[in-house]
Amino acid sequence: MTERILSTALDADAAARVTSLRAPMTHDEMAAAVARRGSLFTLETWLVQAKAYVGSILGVGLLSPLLYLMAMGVGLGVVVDRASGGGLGVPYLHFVAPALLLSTAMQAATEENTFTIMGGFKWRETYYAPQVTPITPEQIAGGHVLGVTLRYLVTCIIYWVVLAVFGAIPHVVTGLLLIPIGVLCASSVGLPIMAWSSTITQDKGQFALLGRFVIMPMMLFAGTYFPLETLPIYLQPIGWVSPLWHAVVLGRAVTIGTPVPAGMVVVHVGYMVALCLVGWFLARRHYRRRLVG
Amino acid sequence: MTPVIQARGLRKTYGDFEAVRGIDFDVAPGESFGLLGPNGAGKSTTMRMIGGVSHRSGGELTILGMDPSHEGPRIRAHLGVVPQQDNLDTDLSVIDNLITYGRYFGLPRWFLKQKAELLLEFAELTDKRKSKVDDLSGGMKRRLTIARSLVSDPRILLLDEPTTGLDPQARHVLWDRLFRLKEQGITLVLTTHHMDEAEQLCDRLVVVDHGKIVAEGTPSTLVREHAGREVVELRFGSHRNAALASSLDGVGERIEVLPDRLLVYATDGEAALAAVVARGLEPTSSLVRRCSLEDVFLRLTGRSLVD
Amino acid sequence: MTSSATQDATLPDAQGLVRRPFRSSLYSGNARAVFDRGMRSQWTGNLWVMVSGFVEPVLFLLAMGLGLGALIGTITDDAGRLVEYPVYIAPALLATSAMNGAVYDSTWNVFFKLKISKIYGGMLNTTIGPMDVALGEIAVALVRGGVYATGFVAVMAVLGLISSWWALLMVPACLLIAFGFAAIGMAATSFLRTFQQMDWLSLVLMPMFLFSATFYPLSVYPHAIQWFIMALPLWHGVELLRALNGGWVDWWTAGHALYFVVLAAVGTWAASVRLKALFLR
Repeated sequence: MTERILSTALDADAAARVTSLRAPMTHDEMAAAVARRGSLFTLETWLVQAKAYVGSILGVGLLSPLLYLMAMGVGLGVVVDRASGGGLGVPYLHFVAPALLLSTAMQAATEENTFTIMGGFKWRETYYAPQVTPITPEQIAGGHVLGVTLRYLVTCIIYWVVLAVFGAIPHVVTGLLLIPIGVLCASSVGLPIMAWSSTITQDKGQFALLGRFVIMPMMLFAGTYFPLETLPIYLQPIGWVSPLWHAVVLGRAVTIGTPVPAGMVVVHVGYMVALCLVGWFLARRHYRRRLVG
Repeated sequence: MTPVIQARGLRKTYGDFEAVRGIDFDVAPGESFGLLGPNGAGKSTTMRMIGGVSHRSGGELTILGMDPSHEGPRIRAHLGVVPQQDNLDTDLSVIDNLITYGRYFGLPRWFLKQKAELLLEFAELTDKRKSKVDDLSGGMKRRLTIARSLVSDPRILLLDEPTTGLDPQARHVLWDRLFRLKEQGITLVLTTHHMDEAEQLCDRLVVVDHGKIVAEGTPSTLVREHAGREVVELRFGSHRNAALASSLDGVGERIEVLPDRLLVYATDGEAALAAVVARGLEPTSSLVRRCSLEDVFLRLTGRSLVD
Repeated sequence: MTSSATQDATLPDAQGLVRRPFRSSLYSGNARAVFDRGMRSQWTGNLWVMVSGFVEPVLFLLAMGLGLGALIGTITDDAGRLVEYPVYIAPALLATSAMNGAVYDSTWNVFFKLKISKIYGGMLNTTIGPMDVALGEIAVALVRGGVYATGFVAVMAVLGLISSWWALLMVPACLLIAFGFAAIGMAATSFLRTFQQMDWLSLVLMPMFLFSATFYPLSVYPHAIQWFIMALPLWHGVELLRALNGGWVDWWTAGHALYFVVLAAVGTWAASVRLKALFLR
């Protein structure tokens, strides 16, 4: 013990050195910089943390479209095309391809906005470090949203390239719009989930219930693997409320040219934008309520 | 000198529960100010109100002339905060923890890289710079959290129970570090329920109990005014302590009966002990010591600090 | 720690254990204690979460059966039989669900107890041996799997997708499938070091789900790929349940079942040996 205390005395100047290297700005300038660009600073942390997962995001991001394309596009396509005798108007591969991309975007949105949010508030408590800095709760939420949007974008681009290489996107030029549609779809699912997750204080299996009773039905009954109209009428409303269905309709319009009336385009885009706005508004509010008591 | 922190009638309620029930205090620039009290006294709540992450329910509070309810982010730019629980980012390395935290103050990277090296040196973590946080010992994590709070050259450092849960050696190292910061002119505000910590670090302190301030002063004046000079601890066995207290009438200035021992307060402890023995009483053990803040708290509240 | 030493005084069959040192250090005949603990912790949680687990395959069945079924109508399976599309996929979804549940229970769950909460370390400080742990944990997973399978078979019956009494055997067959996957999953988990490595599990499960004659017959593939898929466990599970559901039981059916008996035996043995290597050094 004596030894230990002596050793700390050796660098008696360390404290003086720390305080003598002054920040190149005043505290008020720091506050002003954070007020302007705080969300970008929290995004940086998100990016540094994401570095550990880049491998699995890229690996799974590349393999998953390949496997799904082979199984659900090519394999199932053989059976469907033979049986339906071209009833879809296009090869099944072309029909299902945009839906595969959009489902994956929705899946990514679910992953990124459930346990991750809970982790920030509870398990890893990563939200409580910036809480005591000039960063506001809204900026903590903003950094997360920017980060996950970037992830949706990367996921959609990889998926799109795989689809395009395998000839699953007939109208390649307008088909590029599938990428922003994917990001919008993911955000319209992700933001409301984020708002909801940020109210959860104890994990009692809510996320499993969300997956089973909300996400999965919205994925399966959204006109992804078959036109929504082939379902009995009482099941179709599940598709109407699912952002995925709205995105799939738009996606097929840009990749295979399925006609959509202009009014309906407004409805589909408007519905997803509205979900984003409501989710973002509520998420900000919940973050503030939880981080400032 | 204008105080850097000023509280008047400060209150905080959670539903029916009153955590802080109207407290007044001033903290002068460069001073080391302590809130001493048991768990649940309202110390952490007060700290959170100073940091602007908890809004007061009543009274006045100004930090550097600003109201934390309205200018939280701007006030926090001037503060360094060391929370009770280390909330380091376990996904990141030691040095990345310092740099990402500095970015929350909008500081440029080139500056943070230099500053982080000095902070690692200060926290004696230079050889751990690339380690993951989970691989650090409790004392190291605590030093890293303190180093992190210094990244923005704070004028005021808020420390919530800085050494609770650490072993004695690690605590001494931390006290040394904090004392050096004080020497550099940083204002320290700390909460603690350890009287030795308060005695080591605080120029001045308030004793808090049930959300109220029960005494205020320097550690030595508090001890002098509320406890006296010396105390004799007598143990007669737990079933006899209370019964024997009455036969000690007239010995010392005051007697406190605890479940496990009797405390006899006196100006001259040895003389008081001699008087006890002269009455034919034979304690199974006895100890004469100087009065401490523990005795102050006991006197003021009838309870001990650490339960 | 040697479990035989501590058992000598307490258990009536201590002599037997001492005579068979292999058994004594691996197995104390008390998997029951591990099972009881698992049941207690699992069924005192959120019951809704537990019970609703069988909803997933039901949703798949409704969506794919009704939606895709409307496009496809009937399908010719690999044995040349013409079946309604929902009848074709239902047993496959059941087998997949048995696989997913068992793998989840034996990987995430076991990994957590192995590395994070260190529950196994505590258990193995008592008379309990590694094989007790393996069998006990697998038994917990099977109870859950059995509940899900029963629920799903009931739904199939309600939807009129069952035409043979053999179909009742799908529930025990599911348990066998789950046993096999759980045992292998547990053995595999003992090799993992980080949570991130767990991500790669989905890269094994997902293709198995997609390609094992779940949504369409193997005949769409080239022969080489067909043989590869037929070597994988899920395909045997799918074919086993499909045969029972349709009442087309033959020697092939027995072969599929045997595949899982072997898988379960090898997996349990491997899991116990690995646990022993990890804890009883």
